[in-house]
Amino acid sequence: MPRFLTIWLPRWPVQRRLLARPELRRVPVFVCRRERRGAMTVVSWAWAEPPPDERRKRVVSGRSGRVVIPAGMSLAEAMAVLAVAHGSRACHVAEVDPDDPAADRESLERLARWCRRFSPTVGLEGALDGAPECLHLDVTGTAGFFGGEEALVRTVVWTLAARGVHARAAIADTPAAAWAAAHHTDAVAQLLHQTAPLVVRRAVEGAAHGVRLASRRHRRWAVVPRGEAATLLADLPVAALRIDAATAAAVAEVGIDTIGGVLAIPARSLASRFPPLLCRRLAEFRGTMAEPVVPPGGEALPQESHAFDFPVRTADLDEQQLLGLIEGLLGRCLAPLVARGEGVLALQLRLEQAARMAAAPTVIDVGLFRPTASQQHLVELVRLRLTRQRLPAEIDGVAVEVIAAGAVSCRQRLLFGGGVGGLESADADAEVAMLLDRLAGRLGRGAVCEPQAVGDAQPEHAWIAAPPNGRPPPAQSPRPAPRDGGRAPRERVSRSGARGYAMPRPVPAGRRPIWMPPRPVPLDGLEGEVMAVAPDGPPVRFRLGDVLHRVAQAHGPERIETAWWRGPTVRRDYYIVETDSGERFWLFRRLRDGGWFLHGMFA
Amino acid sequence: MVSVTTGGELLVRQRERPVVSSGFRPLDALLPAGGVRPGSLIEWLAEGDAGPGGGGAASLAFAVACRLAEARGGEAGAQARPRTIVVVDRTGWFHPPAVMPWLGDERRLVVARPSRDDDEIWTIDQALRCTGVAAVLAWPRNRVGRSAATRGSRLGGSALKGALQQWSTAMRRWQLAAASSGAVGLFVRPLAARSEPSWAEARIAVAPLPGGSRQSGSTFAERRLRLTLAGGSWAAVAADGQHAADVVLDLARGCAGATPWGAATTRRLAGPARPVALAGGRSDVACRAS
Repeated sequence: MPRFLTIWLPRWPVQRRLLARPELRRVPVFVCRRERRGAMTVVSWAWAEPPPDERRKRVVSGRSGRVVIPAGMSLAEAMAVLAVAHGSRACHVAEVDPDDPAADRESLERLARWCRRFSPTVGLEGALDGAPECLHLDVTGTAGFFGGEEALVRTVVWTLAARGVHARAAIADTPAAAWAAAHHTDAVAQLLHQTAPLVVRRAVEGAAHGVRLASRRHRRWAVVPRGEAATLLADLPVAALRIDAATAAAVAEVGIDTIGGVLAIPARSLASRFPPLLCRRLAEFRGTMAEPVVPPGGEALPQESHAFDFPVRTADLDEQQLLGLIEGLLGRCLAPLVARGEGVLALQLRLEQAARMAAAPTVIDVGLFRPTASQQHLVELVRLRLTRQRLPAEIDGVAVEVIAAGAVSCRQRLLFGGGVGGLESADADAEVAMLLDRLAGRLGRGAVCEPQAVGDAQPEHAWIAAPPNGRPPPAQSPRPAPRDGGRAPRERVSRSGARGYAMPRPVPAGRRPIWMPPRPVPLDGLEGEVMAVAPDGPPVRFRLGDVLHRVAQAHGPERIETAWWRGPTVRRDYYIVETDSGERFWLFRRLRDGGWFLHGMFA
Repeated sequence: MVSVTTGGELLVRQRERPVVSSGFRPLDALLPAGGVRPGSLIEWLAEGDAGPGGGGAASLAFAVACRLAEARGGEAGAQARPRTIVVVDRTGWFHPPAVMPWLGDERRLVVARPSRDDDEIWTIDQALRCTGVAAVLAWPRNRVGRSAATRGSRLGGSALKGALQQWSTAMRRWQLAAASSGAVGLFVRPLAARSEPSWAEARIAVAPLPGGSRQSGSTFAERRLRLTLAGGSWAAVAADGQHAADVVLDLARGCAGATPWGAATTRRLAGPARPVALAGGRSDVACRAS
């Protein structure tokens, strides 16, 4: 009989941020998404460690004290609720972060891989809204290794707690039943008449935070015995079946609000009166429809190593010999990948040092921009990195491990196609990808980029160097852009796009110089000086170095006032000036003190 | 596996490649092949000793690069041209938002920022070798942005000759790399480089023409430039054709703009039919015999 364990990580978006930045535990954390028309709605929120007087306040006030902010509430309303419960200071220190479901998923997959110590098959739930918060583990027959299912589920919760992850877990016959039980562990434990709920000591990572007692007694695990899922979980609300809002409304209309009530409906009327999702969920709950647990990321990635019989001195080792050895190891790693139609995306080469030296191995990480199955290309990249690496004096062994793999696009090559100038576009893309890998191998990954415009008015920050073929730039801070301060009133910027960040404002062509120094060059004193007729007018003459330019035409001013959140506000009036020799420069006057700067040349 | 190509094969391959228009008819008339030949290098000389200054040479070079990277569709039997432009920026002064409106959706811009001179030479070589790259834009040996000490130093005597020799070798490697793959190298150099040897097919001095530019709204809409043929292969120098032309660069679209008075804008320079011999000495003559 199969048994499944479900781990529920409540408020996973917030938990992920708390794991990354433990200092956020002391402040309320809101994860928000920007909706249409600029409104911000709360996806998830939590306040992990309110200060002690806040907790006392809650108890003393006599109310239940729990601040309820459901998902979908607007941020302004949520802040108001928080202010009423904990005072306005809590709102000032609150941390607001934009929603990043891709990063949430990635870190959940990493946690799933870590949970392989409990079961070889760990998968993410297929959440309806695309933001999974649960992990399903197939624990059929593995409970014996942990001393019973009760012990297994307790170990899971405590081990995760030791890592700083707040989780609830339950074991049942099907993933659906385990999901329902994990979301209501208190109720299930009470129903099972187990001993009084234990006080959970949760040791947070880092001794500085100390040990915190749970203020309410919770039981965070539950084991549903075989075959008793229907009876035990009958009193749970219908939402525990993982249905969407429309189906829940349809069920509530009929007056049914527990799983037991839904189970009692005859199957024929169920299918005709309610959406098909409900039938599917019931089938999964009962176990008549299988719900496979799919591990993320596919199968294990190959790794090969070669240990020498005795430590070899690198001074004696020829580069060709070492490369030949690495080539052989790479070939053996590539064979299973090629069979699956995949290529290498990231590779790690380790040169183990002799045991008696007891030093860490020399590690070389090679990353690619596109998966490749070409052994020659990989050896070339490794060779480029090795030439820049200081090798240890003695090597004990060489290991090659594939860290990431991806599907390689297959293309049918033309038998007679391709002339001298002709090139298939897919070929061209592959060639460019290999070029970028080689450039990154020698210059460093940060030195090769594809520029992307971001919606920042300050010219120095108007673009970012994104990795080629990388993900789109991360969502920007959800603080609203300065109203009417960033642009002249005629140029009204259009507000947010479809996703949570503002679309970059395209600057009209011809307004920005192609040649811009990293910092504006002050034109006071040695570098040059500027003379303007009107105190706030365009310049008429300026000296750059030892050349005096007279201004024939000037366009402007373009006022840019921005970046108050980065430090002192940047307030500049920009002018595009054309001198009488035809050269064009980009000057600005800093409004704070009237100083002139050169910020670009229209080369 | 190393592939060996003989010089003869390269010549044949070069001749087989169709000549592409640069997008500016006056410029096409100026170039020796009647357009840009894929697999060649073109040098643009601009005012200013340390940087391209405000003359418009880099903008024009980028407009030509955009034209080369344009995907050509709809012709029977035609295959897609490479769409990637690689900019090798050693100085860190290149500002992509200035040219991003010209790229559109079909072209791709990659910026490489090497931190050393030999890395810069290697990067340009590798980029020119790649068949998927349409154009490589660079300003090699540009001293802008470096400290005043290195900028002001003048090499003397044999050190200068050695540096020039290394430079000439690098440029020859680039020419061979471009010839093997079909990419076009566009290099923006200071005007003082007229005296240096060159392996480029054409060397064009770019000077801005003041006044009279059409304006739209609150900014300049176009740029008028005077181009002068200042060197290159023997074919370029010895031809009896034009040696100067005016072009109009439309800043909104990065292509040729319409002239206000509609007539052809090529002009002949009054003066000797053949250009005055450029200084350079023996090494200059030797490398032109390509």
